[in-house]
Amino acid sequence: MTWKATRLGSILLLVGLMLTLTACFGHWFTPPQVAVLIVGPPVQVGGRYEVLISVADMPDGGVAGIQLGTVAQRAIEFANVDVGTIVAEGQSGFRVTAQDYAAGPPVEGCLIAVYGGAPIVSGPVLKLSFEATGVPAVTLDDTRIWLANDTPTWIAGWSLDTGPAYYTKKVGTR
Amino acid sequence: MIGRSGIAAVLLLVCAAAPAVAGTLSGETSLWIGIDPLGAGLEALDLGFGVDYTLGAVTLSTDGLLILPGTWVWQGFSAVGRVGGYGLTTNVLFGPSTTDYLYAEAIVDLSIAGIDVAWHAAQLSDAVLGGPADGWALRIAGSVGVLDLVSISEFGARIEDDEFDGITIVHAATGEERHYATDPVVPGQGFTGEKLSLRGLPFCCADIDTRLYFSCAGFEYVSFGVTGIEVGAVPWLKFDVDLTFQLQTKSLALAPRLSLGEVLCVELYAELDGDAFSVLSLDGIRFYGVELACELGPVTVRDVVVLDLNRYAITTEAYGSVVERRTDAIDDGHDVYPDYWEMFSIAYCGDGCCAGDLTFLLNVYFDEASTSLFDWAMTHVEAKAPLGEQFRFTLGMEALPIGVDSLTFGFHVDW
Repeated sequence: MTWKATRLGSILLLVGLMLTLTACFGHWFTPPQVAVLIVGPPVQVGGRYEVLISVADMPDGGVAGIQLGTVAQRAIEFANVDVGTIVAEGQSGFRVTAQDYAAGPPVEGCLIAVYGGAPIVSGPVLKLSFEATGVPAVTLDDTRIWLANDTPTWIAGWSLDTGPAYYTKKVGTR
Repeated sequence: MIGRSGIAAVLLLVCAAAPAVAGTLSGETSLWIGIDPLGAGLEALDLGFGVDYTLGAVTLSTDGLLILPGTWVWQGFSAVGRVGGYGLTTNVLFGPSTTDYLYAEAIVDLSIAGIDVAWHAAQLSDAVLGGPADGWALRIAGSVGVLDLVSISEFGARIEDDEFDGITIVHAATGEERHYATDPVVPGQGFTGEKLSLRGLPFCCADIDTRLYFSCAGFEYVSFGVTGIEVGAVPWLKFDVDLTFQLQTKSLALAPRLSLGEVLCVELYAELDGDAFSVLSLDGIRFYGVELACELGPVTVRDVVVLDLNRYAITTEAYGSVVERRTDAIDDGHDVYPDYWEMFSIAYCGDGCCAGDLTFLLNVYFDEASTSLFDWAMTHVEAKAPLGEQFRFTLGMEALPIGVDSLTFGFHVDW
């Protein structure tokens, strides 16, 4: 029995080695990695609503700073939201350093959030919470959004996505 | 962590007895009701539930999370069992609120003649950003003398090890996470990588760990690592060395570590202070925290102080209430209190009435920005008491200077 087991183990190791040596045969292809800024749907938490803003697959080591518009050109638009109740809170170590909201209509906002430590490749970076006056909605204008890493350069090639209900967060790439 | 937004949670565990049919049926259901004494009363309602069904050598389980009033975050199913030398683990995850199948994983392992073989397969659906993907991997591990050899052959999937963290699926609306060991990385099949690890290779005064990784693109890297190199005249200083060769680069990482040892009831949180880009320059020792701890029978008293709040913070109760670097906390998924510079804690753990422990925890936090007496900022209270062999009661509270922020009541029934 032991002899058989040893033989089986040796065969398995040999198969693994052969596969290593024979390599790919053209089956391998890497799907393009697309960096995404994700805006989640409003979730009711008691008397308030919360919207999570997350990133996924950010290149160049990840995101260390995010700017959503300026006072002159705000990137966040709220629908059916009481402007006086809006609070932006950093997630995953991000801190909101400046924010401003205008009653409108429409209700609009801008903010800057930064993180001084390791950048975030995937995960939530901001949480907007507010009280609603109807069915709330939050939309972002991607032409007024800037993402930065800590090299320090702007991150290019990302896209805004409000669709995915789920995303993957992968760390440890080696 | 109980949310700072003022949500108070009441945990009610509701269990319905169910007759066992052929196997053993057990489980639990947890209902979280948020109550904000300072605000509008009921604020949130989270429902977690799990059922285990053991049939012979296999246990079937399901667990889910429902955030009321209407977000069914996910529902997972698993089967775990062992028959003879074979072990089986399967996981399937669904997103009921969007009626999506999300992820599936199967792991079969066996051990023969000192060789551990594990086959991992996984599939990620296109309902998850990052999918679709599927693949499998074969892990073979064994020992030859003092050497530990691990071979991981990847066919479209990678599996969790000390270098790779598997896959985490995140619910975009709530930030809730589920973690699995097998990460399918590409759609389709075919050989995608081979990782060989050799540990304990004796080399004069040290044991070397080596790792060699090939992918379909060819050679990726080979690394040699040695940990805990001691510096003879400096007993409190140790080095980890990692030499990595990639196709076009070579890197040498020297990681100095401070080893102060244990001093009874006082723990100093410290690290070496130097140029982050040149470990050849060590400027000193940076003390970033102090902890005093004393056990007096069933009572434990602790005082934890953070000396550098810019880079360190106290973790929440769920993560041990220790001082941790903020970046490490994020990497490891630990929650921290970002603003509190000190925590005073009293914990009690004694025998309860009914084969269970009676526990009580009182944590008091201080914030230098607070205008309260002694910078008091928040008090956290937890208590658990058994009320029967299968029945436990839970109480929790968090209080801020403006009043009680949250209340938690709960019942737990094992059935």
